[in-house]
Amino acid sequence: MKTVDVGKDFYFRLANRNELQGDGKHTALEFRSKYLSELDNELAWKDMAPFIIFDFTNVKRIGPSFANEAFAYFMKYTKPDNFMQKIQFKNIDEVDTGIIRKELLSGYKK
Amino acid sequence: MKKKNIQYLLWVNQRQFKKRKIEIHKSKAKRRNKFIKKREPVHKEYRKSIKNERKQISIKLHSDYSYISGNKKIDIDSQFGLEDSKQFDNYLSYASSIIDFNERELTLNLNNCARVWPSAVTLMCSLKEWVEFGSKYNHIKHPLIRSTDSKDSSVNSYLTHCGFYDYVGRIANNNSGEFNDSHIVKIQRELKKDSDTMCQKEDSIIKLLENTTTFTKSQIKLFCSTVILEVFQNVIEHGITCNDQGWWVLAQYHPLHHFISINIADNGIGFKNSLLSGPQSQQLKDELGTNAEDEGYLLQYAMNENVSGAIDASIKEGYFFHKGYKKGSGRGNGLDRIRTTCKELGVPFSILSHYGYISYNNRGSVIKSGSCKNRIFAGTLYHFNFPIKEA
Repeated sequence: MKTVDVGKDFYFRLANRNELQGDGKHTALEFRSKYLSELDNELAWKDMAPFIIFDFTNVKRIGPSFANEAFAYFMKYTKPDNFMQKIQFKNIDEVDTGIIRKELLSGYKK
Repeated sequence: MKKKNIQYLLWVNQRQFKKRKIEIHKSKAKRRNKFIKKREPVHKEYRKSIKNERKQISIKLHSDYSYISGNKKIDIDSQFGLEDSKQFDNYLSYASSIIDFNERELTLNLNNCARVWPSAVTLMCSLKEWVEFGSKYNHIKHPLIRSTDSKDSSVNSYLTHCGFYDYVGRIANNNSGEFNDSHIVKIQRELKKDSDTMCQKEDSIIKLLENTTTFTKSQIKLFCSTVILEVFQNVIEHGITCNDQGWWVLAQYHPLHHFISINIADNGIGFKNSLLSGPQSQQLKDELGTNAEDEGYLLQYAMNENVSGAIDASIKEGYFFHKGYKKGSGRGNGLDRIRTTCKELGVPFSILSHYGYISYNNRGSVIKSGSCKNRIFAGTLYHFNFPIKEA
């Protein structure tokens, strides 16, 4: 299973939903297509085996808009608990986990 | 009729019925696709047209101002700011006479002013940009804005200390030695929207909160990630994307009053214009009727219903009773995140946007909301009174 150091491999501040927000760089859309594009179909969610681990050691903060676009997008295929089983987070603090969980529970909104 | 013939006729009818059903389905889909294509927010042309419309709105906002003649003097007595809830109405009345002035000269008489709070400093900074931007687009000389010194020397020294005199280019008379630099995030016009600048500002607010409050690091991080970050995204979108007017941050620790005043503002087109020029404009007009023109009503509606003025906001599709959001999408919930996190942490806050205002207490209830006859802020101001201790 692949492990990604998000802070080093992507960016340390996860804030922009898409190219229209902020400086339009390091967006959630970019993140999704870089690491999670294979999961953008119903079939991929039938198998619950872990797919990827995101290491948050070097991530400073994650915003709700980013979490919504990058992760809650998949709520049309699966449920929050299944999502957390397939996509795992390492070295992530309770605030960031809480933000991601909240977005997963509230569903994809933009 | 023979049994065989009856069966044949039934078979033909069924076939015709099925054919007709397919035709209806196809024409419905065609109509729906045409409708979606016309209003689909991700369409490049559509995005461009919204941006252009917002640019035009931004210029039009200034068209009523000529600043040709006359002199207006506004006496600001006692206190000026949103920080003290008792002064809220006073602030609105001062703000509405300041922003909407149309004379050649404006004098702010601070002679009897006992305190200028950070929210008032932010208002005065945005006023400078408001008149300069308006004059530039109307090709007129910009008016002269003056302020007198206060009898109270601490008012003058605070205006120096917070960066206001630097910002407006006024020579400071007093030193600001009595104030502590570690208690403030000074005001300046921010023109950059890159993540490094944002991160720097977020870090300085976090540092200020960590050094002065009893809130845990996790609570402060939650406030920064869900409230400050979300507000920054809003002010950048409205402040810089439209016409490059910038945005401001001013945070100040008030040890005697037990809170930190955080003010983040832009000089953008405001909530109403943003919502009514965005993808959800038609559905808002349909739902709210004439109330859609009332900035205060729209502001309260936006806080409760989570509508969005974002260029790529979701829109309802379909017809009549079947109208709804596309599967997997919903309406913006940025304001809801701000409201719920502030309620969770017990942070009172207010939002002022052009003519409208809304104010929440530390329990998340609306204490004031409405519209003024005159403009009360040049763009949108987000004001938070972060308490030193948890309630």
